[in-house]
Amino acid sequence: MFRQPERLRCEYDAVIIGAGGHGLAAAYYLARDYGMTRVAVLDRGWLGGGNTGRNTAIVRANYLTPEGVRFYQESLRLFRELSEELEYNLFYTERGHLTLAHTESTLRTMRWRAEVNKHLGVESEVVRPDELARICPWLDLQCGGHVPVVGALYHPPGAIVRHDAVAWAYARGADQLGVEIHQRTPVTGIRVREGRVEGVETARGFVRAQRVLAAVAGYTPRIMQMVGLRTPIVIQPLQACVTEPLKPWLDQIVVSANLHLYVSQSTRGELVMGAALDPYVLHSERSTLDFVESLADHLLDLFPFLGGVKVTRQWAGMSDMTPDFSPIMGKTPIEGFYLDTGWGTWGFKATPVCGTTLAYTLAHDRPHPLIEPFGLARFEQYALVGEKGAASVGH
Amino acid sequence: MKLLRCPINGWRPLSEFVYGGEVRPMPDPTAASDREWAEYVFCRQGEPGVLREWWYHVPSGTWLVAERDTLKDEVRATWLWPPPDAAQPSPDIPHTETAAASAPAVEAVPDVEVARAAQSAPPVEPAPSGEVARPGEHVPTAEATSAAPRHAETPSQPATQPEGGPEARA
Repeated sequence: MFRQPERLRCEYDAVIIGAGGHGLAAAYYLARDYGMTRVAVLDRGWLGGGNTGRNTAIVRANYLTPEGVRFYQESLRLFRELSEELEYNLFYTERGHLTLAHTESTLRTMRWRAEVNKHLGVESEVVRPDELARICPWLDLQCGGHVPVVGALYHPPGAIVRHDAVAWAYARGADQLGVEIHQRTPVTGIRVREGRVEGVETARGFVRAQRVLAAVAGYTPRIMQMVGLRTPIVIQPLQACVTEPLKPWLDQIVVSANLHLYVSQSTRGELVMGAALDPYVLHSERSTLDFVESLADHLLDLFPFLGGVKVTRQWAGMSDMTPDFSPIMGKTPIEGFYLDTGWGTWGFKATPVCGTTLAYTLAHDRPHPLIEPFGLARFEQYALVGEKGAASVGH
Repeated sequence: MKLLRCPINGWRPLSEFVYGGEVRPMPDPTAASDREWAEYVFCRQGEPGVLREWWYHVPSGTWLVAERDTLKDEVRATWLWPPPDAAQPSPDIPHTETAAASAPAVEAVPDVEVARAAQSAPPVEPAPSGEVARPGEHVPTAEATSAAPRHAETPSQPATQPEGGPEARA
């Protein structure tokens, strides 16, 4: 797949901390588009072992703010051609994404999202229960009488991508262009002098670099502590689970924020499911029984016939949450130190567009126009990009 | 089941509590610059460590402060406001890791152990005074359900305020 260089050089043009999808994509596009090949991607664990391999592999662009919609729309465009670009089958399959509304107020937000989406050229529409029954006949629209479904936001381009393959394919692509990927190389410090980054301390020695990008999701606060910057990021676990494999029956991705549930069927037949963020700050990837119990309860509201299906695995990732549910990307007060964080529960779908825009940002030392609204400075400017209304995950 | 100790109602399932976030010092709104105010509003101690946090016991309307290790998910102590070493009458305490480490020693009981103990024997609540209602009888007052800092004014508080830490009650 890719080389595993034994020797860590003492200097690179850019060091990327975090060998997840975002970091590897940034490395790939730095090499492909800007000819910057003296790049090292460092990871404390293994490639794609963080949230890249822990998400539920859903991609979509049906956001609420124009800034968000434009950004994720570009990501979907890149995703569609990515298998060809990287010559690796990512199993990109458009499934259609249904966000259910159980109340009239939820439906109002969906109407808002649909109109913003359509205005910007993203396919989204509010559908009423009769049409919903036609699209996904398996749904119990009465939810056992608890919280009847009154409509849904239907986003046909919503898709599933094999998430591990995205990391592997970017790693291979970057490697072929000369980028070095160093796994099991924890960063222990970041050297900053007179407001400029000089390089990173690692467990394998100091590495000099003019540009350092941190793309480490749940570990962001620990990295920020190394450079003495405060951010609004807090870490909360997000759990997920899969059932035993079933014959294919569920085409769509079904989401209900009211029921704290999202579910889709993988190409292997497993139901891949998630619920809400764990309700308090915790730096841990532990799983809980509470989570599966509440998820199963809500799943049976929508699909009562799944009562006998067994859960086979569960896991968690550490979500880097921001107050406005938008990411933090781009430059920081430290020259040469760039951020890609605040990806909370919505990062996987942005992998390719993070790669292209961060590569641009590192190469030009100015934020790509698509990520300008997501800068760290937006908080002190009170210019937040509120995306909570478009979050699938209950919060 | 994870348990958290409410200073009024004793050990209760964690599902009865709502998280209120880190206890943060509020700068003087009239004197703070926009930047300082933004930092207060948005920034948090994101890295793992011992944090003081607001928690709310929903059934009884009790706001409390818990000192918790956010890496191990172990609660070290809980208090009604103010915690013992809080010098100010307002939520104005330092909340860095160093400050938490220098807090007066309290009997730390990891939740897991307590949960086990709770399974083997039903927890008996040694009420420190007759004024404290048992969980089932506790009726939240209007004050008790209001904003967090006001909780210090609730009538039941002085009677249940433990001295020298939460485990001093026995």
